[in-house]
Amino acid sequence: MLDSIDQFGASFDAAAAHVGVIERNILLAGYRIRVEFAGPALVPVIQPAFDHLAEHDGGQAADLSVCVWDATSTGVRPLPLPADVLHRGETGPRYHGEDGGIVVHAADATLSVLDARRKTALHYLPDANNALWYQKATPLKDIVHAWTSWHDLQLIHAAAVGNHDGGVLIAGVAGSGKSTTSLACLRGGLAYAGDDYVLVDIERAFVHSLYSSAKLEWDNFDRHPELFLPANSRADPKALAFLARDVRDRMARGFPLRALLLPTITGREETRAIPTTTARALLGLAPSTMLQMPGHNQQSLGAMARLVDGVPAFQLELGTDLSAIPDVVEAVLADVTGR
Amino acid sequence: MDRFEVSRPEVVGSVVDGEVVAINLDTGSYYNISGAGVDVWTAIEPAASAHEVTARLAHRFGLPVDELATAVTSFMEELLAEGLIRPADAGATGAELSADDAPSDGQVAFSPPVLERFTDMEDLLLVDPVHDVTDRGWPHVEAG
Repeated sequence: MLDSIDQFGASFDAAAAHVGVIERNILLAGYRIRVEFAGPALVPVIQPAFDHLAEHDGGQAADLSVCVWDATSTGVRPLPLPADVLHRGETGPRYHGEDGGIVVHAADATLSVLDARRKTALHYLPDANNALWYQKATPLKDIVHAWTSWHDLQLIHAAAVGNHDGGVLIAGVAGSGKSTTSLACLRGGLAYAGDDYVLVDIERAFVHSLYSSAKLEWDNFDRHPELFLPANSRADPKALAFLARDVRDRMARGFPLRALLLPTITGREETRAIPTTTARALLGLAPSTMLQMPGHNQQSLGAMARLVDGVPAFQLELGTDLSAIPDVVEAVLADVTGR
Repeated sequence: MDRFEVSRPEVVGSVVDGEVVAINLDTGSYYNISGAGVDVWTAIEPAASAHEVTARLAHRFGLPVDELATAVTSFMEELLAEGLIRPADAGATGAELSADDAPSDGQVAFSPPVLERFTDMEDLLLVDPVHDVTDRGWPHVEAG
């Protein structure tokens, strides 16, 4: 397997030699990540979602180097990774870990490799010009997810908003009101650490922002023209959006996790937060996180169980008056922090 | 004696606050187990037969085995039908009684096992890309 990874990495070197390298640095959960692009084609695909984490001092050693390239713009197509490397894996065919190498072949025809020996990751997709809208919303997600296994971090499917007291995770299935809640809170002045995926330090109960992007239903996007800039075509099923200039300073790098909110739409006018059980919190958080990403296992569920065990959880019954939602969230934060 | 075990690694489960959250990573269904179902799950973790599970619950709740046998067997059949448990290998060891299984002296009331099933995430399961990968591996150039 490691020979195959080396061969795959040599393809990036060939692409970089052909079109040159563009470097961008980001600080993610306290770790320095250097993204090396072979040529400029993938920069607008990958960089915008990480703009809020950009580090302009590239002189320091990176904790992880991520090498990305596509075949169309560089003219370099990698030698295939053998089928057995792509097929095996205890928890699914998309994920394989052995000798420090992790390979994720995603359904969207991208291939990601994490190589512990060199603290390096490789990310390949066939054509930068045909990158899909959601690839721009959550770039390098497979690599980030695999990389968290080196650290005490979990990639969690949830939105996150907060204030000076700390923040909340907002978790739930599609249609539960997750985006409605996070948008209402952003509109109401709260800080925003993510719409869809965030990194969580389990033992410290700390939320780290990952992406500045939002994936919104078009009608939700249309209701908030002051908050977001459009970044994709109306033909796409959802809106890919980035925070508008006026609210960009609301993007937070992270905050201590104080509570977990599980929104439900009630149709009533009033919004209220009702304490719920640890089991309900885990039911709201773990399945949507684990079923959307390959490679999860008993250890992942155990980590999320430890997280919810130490953080109060609330059913957030969303009312029709959306402007009241941020007050309820801030009241939860004040309550759980004893302010 | 037929023993059963949790269907790992495709099924993961965790006991939190006296309830079990279990996820079938293959099907996308997930579950909440409560009541005496938690004791059933805990007993099956190291592999156990219906008889062993029933004996453990009888000990814990201070009830006659006969009173519990039907509820335990029926609940284990439910778990089996959902793929959460499966027949264990012949060499699997049984569930031994531990300090946690001390007789309750009537302090721990029996409540019937409950399995709550959720299917709203099944659509989220990623399309299996194995179908895109031939013996030649990936990526490869299509002939012609």
